[in-house]
Amino acid sequence: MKRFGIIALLVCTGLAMAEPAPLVVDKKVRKSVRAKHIEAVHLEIPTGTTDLAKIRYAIVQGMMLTKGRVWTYEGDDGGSIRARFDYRGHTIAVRIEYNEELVQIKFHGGSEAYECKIIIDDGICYRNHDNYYKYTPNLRASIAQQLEAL
Amino acid sequence: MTTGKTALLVSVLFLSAGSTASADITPYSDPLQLGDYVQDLNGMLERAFSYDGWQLRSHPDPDTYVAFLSYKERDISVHILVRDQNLTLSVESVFETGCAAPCKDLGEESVSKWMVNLRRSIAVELTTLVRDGLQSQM
Repeated sequence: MKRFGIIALLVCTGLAMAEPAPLVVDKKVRKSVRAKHIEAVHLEIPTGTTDLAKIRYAIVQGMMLTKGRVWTYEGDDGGSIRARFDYRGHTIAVRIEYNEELVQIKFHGGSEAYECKIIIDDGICYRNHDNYYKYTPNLRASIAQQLEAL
Repeated sequence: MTTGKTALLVSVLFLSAGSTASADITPYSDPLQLGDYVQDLNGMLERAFSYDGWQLRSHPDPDTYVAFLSYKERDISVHILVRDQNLTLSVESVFETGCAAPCKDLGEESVSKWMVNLRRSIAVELTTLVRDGLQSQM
């Protein structure tokens, strides 16, 4: 019974990981890109509101107004919106996780050149193609702008 | 259950519960989740098709739409299946049409480009509808 309790607790902990959380970059990860690049993509964004309807709107509006190229809507899994970036034969897919306090972009998948080589904490990508750290920050910045405008 | 087996089970359950990190992404076959945001699917598809000159055609199956493109001596036909609020694309046929000389081999890469662009066009229109739907819920 005790073992069952431990198992249940750890399963719940794992499930609870799929939520935005303050980013703490582990600088000891070998072959990682620089922390500033990871932060440019994965740093959490304060929502400034507890209204989930407004937060979801700001996320999708942010996707549409991203500098350079629109990120398209793939689906909503309850607590995260999946977004996709198709450009020049390559694809980046992210989960934009949200709750009443924070929004955070997590790596979800990508075409071959954009597969994350080092992924930690359920979606924080420590090593990917240079363009992942070039295009995805534009999405983060756009969402942040829309949340601020609420 | 022995301690070793327990530890193994715990590891598997823990890793599987948290392993939502990376999904397999295909160029154009991943379904688009329409949800409740699309009231006029025909209208959405027609707007999307207009981006690159695709035509909307009917299909006997009510869940299936057909996108047709005639381009450089090729006729391309794409099936768009809409079921359980998910939209999925698949290539139905690519035909050569009356090339004066033997047609150049089209190749999977060219077909994939068209399919990716078509899927993206639909996704852009869907994103607009989702945004508008979310705005109305505010």
